[in-house]
Amino acid sequence: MNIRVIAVGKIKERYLRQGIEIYLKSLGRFCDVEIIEVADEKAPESLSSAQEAMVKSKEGQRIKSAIRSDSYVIALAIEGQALSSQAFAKKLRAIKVTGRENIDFIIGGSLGLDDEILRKADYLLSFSKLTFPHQLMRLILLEQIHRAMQIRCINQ
Amino acid sequence: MTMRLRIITTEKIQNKFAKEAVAEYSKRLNKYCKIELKTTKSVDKEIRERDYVIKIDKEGQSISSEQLAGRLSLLGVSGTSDIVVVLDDGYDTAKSDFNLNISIMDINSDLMLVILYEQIYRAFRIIHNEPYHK
Repeated sequence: MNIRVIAVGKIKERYLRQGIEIYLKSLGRFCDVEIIEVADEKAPESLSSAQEAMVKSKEGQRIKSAIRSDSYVIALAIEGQALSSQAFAKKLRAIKVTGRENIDFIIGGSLGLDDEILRKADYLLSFSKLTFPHQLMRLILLEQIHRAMQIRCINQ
Repeated sequence: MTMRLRIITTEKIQNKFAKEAVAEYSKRLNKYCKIELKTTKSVDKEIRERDYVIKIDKEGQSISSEQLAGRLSLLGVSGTSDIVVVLDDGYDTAKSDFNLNISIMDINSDLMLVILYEQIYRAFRIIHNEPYHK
């Protein structure tokens, strides 16, 4: 299985970089994982909704160009489907069974994901009704993928 | 009245990144409340009569960050200034005042603690009408 996490912007906090490093390294035993960081747009609080849409659209274009043509696309969205860890592991396995080797996960920037990306995604996944910072989300997602791989190991 | 929050967990922090994150959020939270982390295997002993107890529970209520902020704010207004957040799956939900679902996924205890601190910080930023990155 080949996993790509497409995310917006560089990780600023050192503790997040450290946490992400730990899971990336450990995940290497199970599958190929790479993080593609696309550039973020400045998003100050003062933006109008039209300007916000513009930021999301620009970031969305960059995300789109990082999505592989043959991949199963899972976008993270608050309004998406909530899954237990077991169900998430099953979902990944089901994708693999259909012959799709590549999975692209998408995490939006500070303003969220462009509608076009949400429509284009094969699946919308929600971790919580709570809003998490997108940079922390990267760590949460990697931990969950790691957990799914361990569950698969146990079940195989 | 300053709100006093105590996070009571049964799990020791394992990773350095989580320690750093908790320290960072504690520092930022100092502006808004008193926050303390207690690691113990006997959670019950730590809870006093006057505490408002929130249990992090997968079967609990799923609410938005804004709703969480609203709840905390209401508690403050109604004079409840001692809040305990329990991270212990075995804790009896009949004894807590509110059961909060953070995620139906299993999450590593270090990471859960970081998420909780961030969410409390976010709540105070929302309560004080201050900007916060998503």
